[in-house]
Parts: sequence; C-alpha cells; structure tokens
Amino acid sequence: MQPPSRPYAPVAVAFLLLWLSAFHAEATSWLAPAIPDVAVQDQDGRGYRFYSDLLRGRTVLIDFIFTTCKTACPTQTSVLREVRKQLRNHRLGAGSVLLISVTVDPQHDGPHQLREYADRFDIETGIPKGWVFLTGDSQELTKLLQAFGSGSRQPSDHSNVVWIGNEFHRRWTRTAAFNTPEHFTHLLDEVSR
Amino acid sequence: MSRNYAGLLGLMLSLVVAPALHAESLPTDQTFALGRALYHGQASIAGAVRVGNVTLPASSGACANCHGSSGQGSREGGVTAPGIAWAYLSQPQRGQPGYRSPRAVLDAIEKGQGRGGEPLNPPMPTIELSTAEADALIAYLQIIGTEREPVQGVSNDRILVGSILPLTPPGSYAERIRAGLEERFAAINRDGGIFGRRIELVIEDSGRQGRNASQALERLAKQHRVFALVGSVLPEPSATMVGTIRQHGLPVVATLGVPIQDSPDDKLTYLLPSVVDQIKQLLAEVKTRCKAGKDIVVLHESRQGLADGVQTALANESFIVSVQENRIDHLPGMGTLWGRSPAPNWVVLGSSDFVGQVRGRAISTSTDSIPCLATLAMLSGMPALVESQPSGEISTAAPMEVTGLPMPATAVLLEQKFQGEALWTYLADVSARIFVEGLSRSGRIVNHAGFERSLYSLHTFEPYEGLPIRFSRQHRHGLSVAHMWGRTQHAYKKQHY
Repeated sequence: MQPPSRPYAPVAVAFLLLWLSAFHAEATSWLAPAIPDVAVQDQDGRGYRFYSDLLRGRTVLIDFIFTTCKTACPTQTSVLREVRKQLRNHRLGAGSVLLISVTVDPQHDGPHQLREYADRFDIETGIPKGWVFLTGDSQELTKLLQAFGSGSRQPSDHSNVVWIGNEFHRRWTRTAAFNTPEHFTHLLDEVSR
Repeated sequence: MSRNYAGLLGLMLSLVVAPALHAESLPTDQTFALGRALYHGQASIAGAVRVGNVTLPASSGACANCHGSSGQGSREGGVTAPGIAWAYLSQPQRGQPGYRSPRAVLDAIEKGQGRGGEPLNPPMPTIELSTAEADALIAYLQIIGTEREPVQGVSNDRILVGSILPLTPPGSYAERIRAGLEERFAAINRDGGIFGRRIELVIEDSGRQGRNASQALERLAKQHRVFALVGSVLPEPSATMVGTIRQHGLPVVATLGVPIQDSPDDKLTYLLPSVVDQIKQLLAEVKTRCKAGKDIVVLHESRQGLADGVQTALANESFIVSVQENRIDHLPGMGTLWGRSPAPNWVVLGSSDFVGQVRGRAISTSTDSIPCLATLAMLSGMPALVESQPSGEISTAAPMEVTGLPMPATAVLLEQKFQGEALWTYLADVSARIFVEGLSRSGRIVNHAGFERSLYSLHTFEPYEGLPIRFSRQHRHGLSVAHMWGRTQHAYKKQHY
C-alpha cells in the first residue's frame, strides 16, 4: 500500500533548505555595520567608547537585551553563557572574544539593573572576563541600536539578531539568537580567521 | 447469583465507588495553589529547565514569564508565546490539532512535543517535573483565565480593596484621604458598582508617621485578603512590604506620597512623580529656558531622603554645586557663591522659609541680574507669582521664578478651589477614579494580571479635565511634572544682609 500523498512536502523541503542555509551563513564583510563610537557605560558604571574601547582589534559577539525581558532574553543569555564556557576549550580561548550585551531599554536599565541581570545568570563580567553589559544615554544608545538594526519603539519589540564580528579583519555576520552554542562558536571562529 | 443480580450489584457498586474515585481524583486546594505558584514562578521547579543542552536558571521555568499571567500568551523580542489557557490548548490552532489529553500537554512541557507531536521551538524550554508538580500544573492550567480561578478579594457581588493611612493622631490629612476614597466608592456603588460588584473599602491605620505600615499591610493582605491597595500613603515601602505585596500579587494603585526614586516595581504605582524625576525635570527646564552658559547652583535643605534624591538626579551634572544645610548663614564655603558675576541660576530645594533666605541673599549680594530661581512646589509650596513687570523700588536683580509642579498646571489651578488639606480629598478621589477605570477596563473576569494590563493602558485617561494620567510598564507614576513661570511679589523688595 502506498503512503498517502504529501503535497506540502516540496514546500517543506524548500523551507528546510532555506533554514539550513541561514544557519550556515558565511562570515562576510559586506554585513559590516557603520558603527558609531558612542559613549557607553558597563554594568559597573565604567565608561567606554563603543568602537574605540570595545570593538577595535577584537572578535566580538553583540546581542540585545533588556533586564525586564522575560521571554527571549533569559534563553538568549543562557545560551551565550554556554558559548563562553565552550570557548575556554576552544582554539580561540575565552579571553580573545568579548561578548557585548547591549540594553534596548536604557531609560530603565542603568548599570545597577545590568549588574543584577548578570548576577541572575551567575555571569562574571568585565573585559578581562570576556563579557560586558552596556547601557548609556538614550539618544547615544539609539544611534548604536539603529546601526545594528535593533532600534525599536518598545523594548519588547527588539530584534533577536546576534552580531558576530572582527573589526581587524572587517568580517561580520549575524544570526538568530536561538541557535545552539556550537553554532555561535563556529561563527566566532570563522570571523576571527 | 444470577447474572441479573450480579449486574445490579455491579451498578450499585459503581454508583457508590465511582463518585468516591472521582472525588479522590479532583485536585485539592493545595494542588491548585502549588500549580499557581509554579506557573507564576512563586515556587521553584525541582528539576532542570533546559533549551536544547543549555540549562536555564530555575526562574526561567515560570510559565507566566512568556505565556502571561492569565495564560493569554505574549509577544516579546520577535518571539510569540501562544496562549495556554485550557480552552486554547484543547482546540485546533493554525492547522494543528488540539492537545488531546493532560498527558499530551505534559509531553509539551517535559519533552517539547507540541501539537500533533511536532517539536516546539526555542525559547520554549523542556522542564523536568515531579509527579506532584505535573499534577498541580495541569490542574491549574485547566482553570487559569476563567472565573473558576479564585482571586483574592473578589466575589460575585463585591471587590474588597484596602488603603493604608496614617490615621494616628486623629484629625490629620489622612482623614481627608479616607473621605475622598469613601465618597468616590460610595458613588460608584450607588450606580450599581463595576460589573455588578460593589467596591468595599477597608482602611488600616499605619500609625504615627506610618511606623506601623508593615503590620497594616499584613492585616490587609492576610486577614482581610483585599484585591488591591488604593490611595495609600506609602512613599517608601520596605523590602519586607514589597515581599508581601508580591507574595499576594497585590496591585498597589495610585499611591499617594512621593517616593525619592521612580518606582522600580511593577506592582507599585504612584499618583505623583518621584523626587528625582521632579528635580531632573526642573533642571532640564532651567537649562532650556534660562540664559545659556550660566552656572546652576543647587542648594537643598537637610531633609530625610532629599540628599539621596538630589545626588541621583544630579549624576553626570558636573557643573552643579550642591550643599546641604538648613540655615544658609552657616553654609561652609558659601561665601564664594554669593555675589558671583555673572550671576548663576539657582535651584533651591527646601521649605518656603529656606527658599526665602536664599532668594533674599542672592538678590542682595548679586551685582547683576539673576537669570532664574527654581523651586519645587512639593517642598516650598506655591509662590505668589505675578506676571507684570516690577517697577519703582523693586530690585532689578529679581530673578525669573520657575516652580516645578508635580502635576499639570491646569490641575493646580483647579486645586486652588480647595483650602489646605482638602487637596488630599481631591488626590484621593483621583486615586479612586484611576482604580475604578482600571477595573472597568479589565472586564467581568477580574484577576490581578488583567487589572494590571488595564492600569498600564491608561495613557489617555483624564479623571478630571486637564489632568491626564499616563501609566506604562516602564513608567509607574501617573501624573507628569509641569512648570509655572513668573516673578514673586516678595522677591521684589530689596533685602539687606
């Protein structure tokens, strides 16, 4: 007996191929955003210039969160915590990659809120530890968020795109936030070569 | 025994035993309570919460985080979390069949198998549940978002609300607040209540200067079991009180009194802006409207919490000088401030007497015209402003006065109809109207989540004409800062020091 026909199968396969191709995005330079060198503050109130102090010469992973986010951000942050753990045993090493989590809600998220958020996930923070959480003046941060396509009217409308780049090689790529830790590690490896 | 008798006996046994078995399988109140606590994250799940091979913090297992406090679903960061009220789960959705049984729902939670066995996508985690946790969660999912879900303080014909007021000693302004709340709720009840429910008010005395506020809250939450607090005088609830508020899910609505900082907790809403917000807005007004390039000198009185508020509001304001003293005669280092040229703008935060001292000294020692003198009405009251220009013996150094108001100027004009503490009756009435509006918008099925959604939808609500209330999840203070400009009558007389 023949199995029943499945008219949706070709469509499903096409979608699957598209989905897989998205997962295996090559790191390319044409995605490089025009990054503003705005003033930002980390979770301890330390001031930085976003480009000059944090991006220049580094391999970075940038994601966008807000501390009262309940749906997407906790999972996103937990996955990135696993990424940092995996990097310790990776060719790159944990110290060579800086994870940068930027709040999309600077009016509510000051350094104190970001510190509490990091503590909630038991994350060691600071440049030497490889992870900073950033806030700043609303207008300045808006420039930054817009550069990465993450500007939104409401914090809850922010995008779930993660940017991975190496400014020295001018190689950038971006990917969805809910991928596996291995996927992020792979892309970090790729942009740093 | 003949087959007929056996059949009859079997039927009789089934009539006796089946209800007993059924009764045994009905969830108990404790089961519902555990399910509710797990759903809302008030109890931790014993097992692991994972997305793929990544373990999430236990707090991420709270269903309400994503699916909403009433199981209504939500959307955040490009992620749509579907509704999970039982009626939604059991119906087909988007071409997929409904969940056929509680076991199928548990498979979604524990194994990530969705409708028709399809895998659920991140960020939906898989959650390891004990048998008791699984039973409790399933029991709660079957009543969430329906009238079967018991809600504290709500019955078919009434809603019980509370207010915490400092009624000791008698005759204080708190009596005026009580009157404002009681009159408004009585009027609502005369008109039939809200969806047929009367609003009943219970007031607990927080004692002299609010010292017993914590005990008053305990009584309202645990003995009276009120649905919400309305128009309370609770400027700075302690951490213990916030814990009680969260434990009982109590919305604290349109609280009177002014906290130092903006409310950090979405359970706590205030009618008036915080001290920090008022100072920030006042500074912004001075910077925008007064002469550019002038220094701004900020003086504030010694008053509980005010120093912290000034410090927070002045963060990143490097050109500001801030000193703290009640008597300006004794201010250390003040000699360099008086008589500066060009004269600075002054921001003076304190009682009317304190403001008067600074105003007089600034005018008498200034060699040129003082651009602005800014105050907060909350601290120093409303100055006697006049719009006409001074003449004759009036000092040319009289500054332009800007007064920061904790509400729209139109409302302040309205308040002038009231004498003294009658203002509190007016503010209490505004608080009561806000509560009633939120309740009306949340519909017949009343629960805390629905009420809070309604409360935070109040962007265009005017309890009185010209008094817009704006709440949001990010901004929990209903009224906004406004400013009044003019010169004061008493500022024109040259004073000698």
